[in-house]
Formats: sequence, C-alpha cells, structure tokens
Amino acid sequence: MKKAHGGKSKAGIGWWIFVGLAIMTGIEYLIAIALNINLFFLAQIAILKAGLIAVYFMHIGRAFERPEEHEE
Amino acid sequence: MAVATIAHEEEPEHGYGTAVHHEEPQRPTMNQLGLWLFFLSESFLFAALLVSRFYLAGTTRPGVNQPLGLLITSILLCSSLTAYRAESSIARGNRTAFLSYLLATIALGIVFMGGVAYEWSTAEFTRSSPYGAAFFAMTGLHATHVISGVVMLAMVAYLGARGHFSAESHWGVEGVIKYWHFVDLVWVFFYPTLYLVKF
Repeated sequence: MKKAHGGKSKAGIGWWIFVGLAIMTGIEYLIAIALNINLFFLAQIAILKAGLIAVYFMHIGRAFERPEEHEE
Repeated sequence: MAVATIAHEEEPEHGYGTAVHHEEPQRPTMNQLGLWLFFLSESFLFAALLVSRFYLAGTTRPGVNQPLGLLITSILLCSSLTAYRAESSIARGNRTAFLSYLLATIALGIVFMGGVAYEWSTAEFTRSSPYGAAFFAMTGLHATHVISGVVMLAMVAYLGARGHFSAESHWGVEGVIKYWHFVDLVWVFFYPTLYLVKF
C-alpha cells in the first residue's frame, strides 16, 4: 500500500451506496412482508446489494490491478 | 521433478534477500489477492449453510422477530458506512476522523451482537427443529465473524491511536475493513434467507 486510496471525491460515493443499500433493504422488507414475493426476486436484490458492497466498499477491482497501477 | 527444478531456479543462490527484493513491488497486490482468496473460501462455508437452510426447512418462515431483523440489518449497514468512512479518512491522513469512525463501527458491531443475542433468547423455535438448527448455525457462525471483526477493528483502533498507519501506508486498516464489509456482505444473503423468504 504505497498510495492512499480514496480521496475526498471518492468518500462521497460511500454515502450514495449506503443510501442505495438502505432503500433496497427497505424494498426487500416491504415486498417480503406485505406481498410474500418469491425467492427469485429477493435473490436478485441480494445479489445487487452484494455487488455494490464488493465493488464500492470492498474495492474488488484493486485485487486485479497490476502492481504499477496499484502504486501509481 | 519438474516442480523441483523450477523451485531451484527461482531460489537465489546467494540467499533470501534477492527473492524478497523481486517480490516487494508486488506485495500490495499479493495481499489483496490473498485476502480475496480467503473471502472466497469463506463464501463456500456460508453458501453451504445457506443451502442447508432450504434443505432443512424449505421456504417456511417461522415466527422470527421481523422488526428486530430489520433493525440489526440496518445497524450492520450503518457500520459498513462508518467503516468505509474510517478507511477514507486514513487515506486522507485524517487520524481523528479515522479513529472516530472506527470506534463507531465497533460500537455498531457490538449493538448488532446484542440484537442477535436478544433474538436467540426470545426465539420461538428450538435448536432441535429444522429451521432452528439452520437459524442458530447461520447466525452463530456469522456472529463469530462479527466478534472477530470487532476484535480486529479494536486492534486497528489501538494501533491507530498509537500513531500507526498513515495516508501512504494503511494496508492493515484496509484489510480489516474489507473483512468487516465481507461480514456485511454475508448478512445481505443471510437476512432474506432467515427472515424474509416465504412461499
């Protein structure tokens, strides 16, 4: 880890991802309790939420960076 | 035999220093890759439990505490945001914000654990029922990861308070916070599986 990842501009993304995740969790809860919607729909939301966490919070892309890209 | 030959060729004749010199620039990438491989291996374990829930209890949804489930899920989600902010703060060199967000993450993790403990103590099903077996196994294993995450976050906070980590060098922070996000990611699948699924 030679360089600081995530400057001030990137820090704001976290809030948007958080809001997106919160909204999806709310939708998930409402449709499951009120509508008894099926497993397939819940799985789609869960996969979408997991994707957002992996990409924006866990920075999965960094695992595939070459060393020179990582340190630039 | 071929493997032995390759290993011999790669090993420096004059000692271990040269090999380290060649590997050093790749260290951050290797750390990242190693951590992701760890997450992948953990995912198989959690996926097996998730599948076993449907095998044991089908798509039934016994009397779980829905408001509590939503509450602890929200708490874990908030902790992911504070963890993200902690990482962003140390990346900008803001140690005060880093420590504040880290302590908030630890506190939220402890509150989450309290919620799980309350759910366990008030559950309407027993461990011997099919759903109960799946529920306690899944939440139990996840809780173990939350506890270990809280301990690691506390260690990072302690080291951070003593002046460790900087904007230029904070792999320790990044690794632990990635782990915390992984714990949240697992719960993204566990929450609907345990609380919401019903036909």
